[in-house]
Amino acid sequence: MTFSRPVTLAGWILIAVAFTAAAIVAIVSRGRFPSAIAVLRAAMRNVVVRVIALAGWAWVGWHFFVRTSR
Amino acid sequence: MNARGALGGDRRRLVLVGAACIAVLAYGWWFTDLEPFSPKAFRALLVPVVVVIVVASVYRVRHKSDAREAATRAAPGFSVAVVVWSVLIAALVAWELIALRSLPRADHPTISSLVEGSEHHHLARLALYAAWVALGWTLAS
Repeated sequence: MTFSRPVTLAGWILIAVAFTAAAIVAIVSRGRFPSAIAVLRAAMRNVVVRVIALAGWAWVGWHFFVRTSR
Repeated sequence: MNARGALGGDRRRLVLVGAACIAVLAYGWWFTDLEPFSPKAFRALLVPVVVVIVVASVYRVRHKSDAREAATRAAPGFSVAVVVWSVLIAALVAWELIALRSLPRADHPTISSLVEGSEHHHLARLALYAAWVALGWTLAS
């Protein structure tokens, strides 16, 4: 599946706006609507989730600081 | 503990956190200037990964408290938050994969290509590194 350039860019903008809106709701709600990090931390009580999350974090570091050319 | 003892403890903690921040940024300044794709860069990456996971795990054990996670689970909007964040992350991953399969990259940017644009500047790489370390600490501690 491929889209035109405007559709691809519009999709990124929509996703960014949605993430920002959800993050703002999480801040404004003062804990009633937990943030993504809070939800992830709650899920990380499970060892498997914890290992996957930390491996994902390490991969992000490798991807952006070792693998990415500049 | 009396008030003076508590104040001393707070000051010591503040100094420790400040020293840790300076160390992280100093290391990051050197690390984010290394040649990409090099074995040296890979070895240098292992240092913050191991240090953050080990130190944060020790901190987690010493300050073990489920209060924050319990409060998250007890939040009225917890179930809604799980669904909302899952949908958003699924959309992000799906869109990334669609963009990844499309070319040219300039017309179909991925998260990596969008970030790469800012990575030409050393300060931007340092900021990205600091955010990455902070995320790792938040997750692991």
